Amino acid sequence: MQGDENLIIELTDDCEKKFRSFSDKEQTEIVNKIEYFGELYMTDRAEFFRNARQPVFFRINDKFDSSLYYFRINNNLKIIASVDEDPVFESVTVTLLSAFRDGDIEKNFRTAAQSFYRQFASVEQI
Amino acid sequence: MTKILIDEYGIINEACKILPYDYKISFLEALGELEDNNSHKFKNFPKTRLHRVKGIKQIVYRADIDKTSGWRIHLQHIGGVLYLRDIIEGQKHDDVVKVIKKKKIRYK
Repeated sequence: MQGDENLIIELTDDCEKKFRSFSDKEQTEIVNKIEYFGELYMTDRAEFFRNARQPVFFRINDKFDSSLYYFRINNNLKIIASVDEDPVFESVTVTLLSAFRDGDIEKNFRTAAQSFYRQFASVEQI
Repeated sequence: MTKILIDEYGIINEACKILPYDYKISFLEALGELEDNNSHKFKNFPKTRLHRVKGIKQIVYRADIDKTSGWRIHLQHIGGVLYLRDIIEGQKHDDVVKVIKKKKIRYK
């Protein structure tokens, strides 16, 4: 099966200030890597999941699973992003929630999730 | 031809009970737009502002019942069919996001 899909890269309001604090070179590297992971999601799901990690699992509104993942950009830089398929609009969207150098990965993941999921009635760590 | 919309969880019934009277016609109009194949063909949903709910593995969409009040429906997309999943009151807001890149990918 052949097709065309749009890959959309987004940035949350919460993440933008931190993202813009990185150098232009680092920002470009992050966006290029996100593009790479997004394309992998579309073309080679097995390889995508070799790179995408979920250090913490969440259950949303008692019925939905989280699509938040942690990715390594390089030895220093890490990101947390959601990767979401959208068949109605024929696209895959990668939404950058957090970018960081140091710090506990699980703690950063939980903080990003808490903020991102605040619109939902219930979010449970499982 | 219409898009198939399934209400196995009684969302329409729940809407009749909990939606303020003023929004009941809007709810009907929202369902009409979601069933309209042309809306899906041209990817144009002016009434419901249909969009993917991010952060959830299951393919869930949000459709406005009323933009001002924030009353909305969540639907799940499975095999080309839309399933009504939730009706939500308007106090919680989506995160603000900014698109930084968009690219077309051809896949096999």
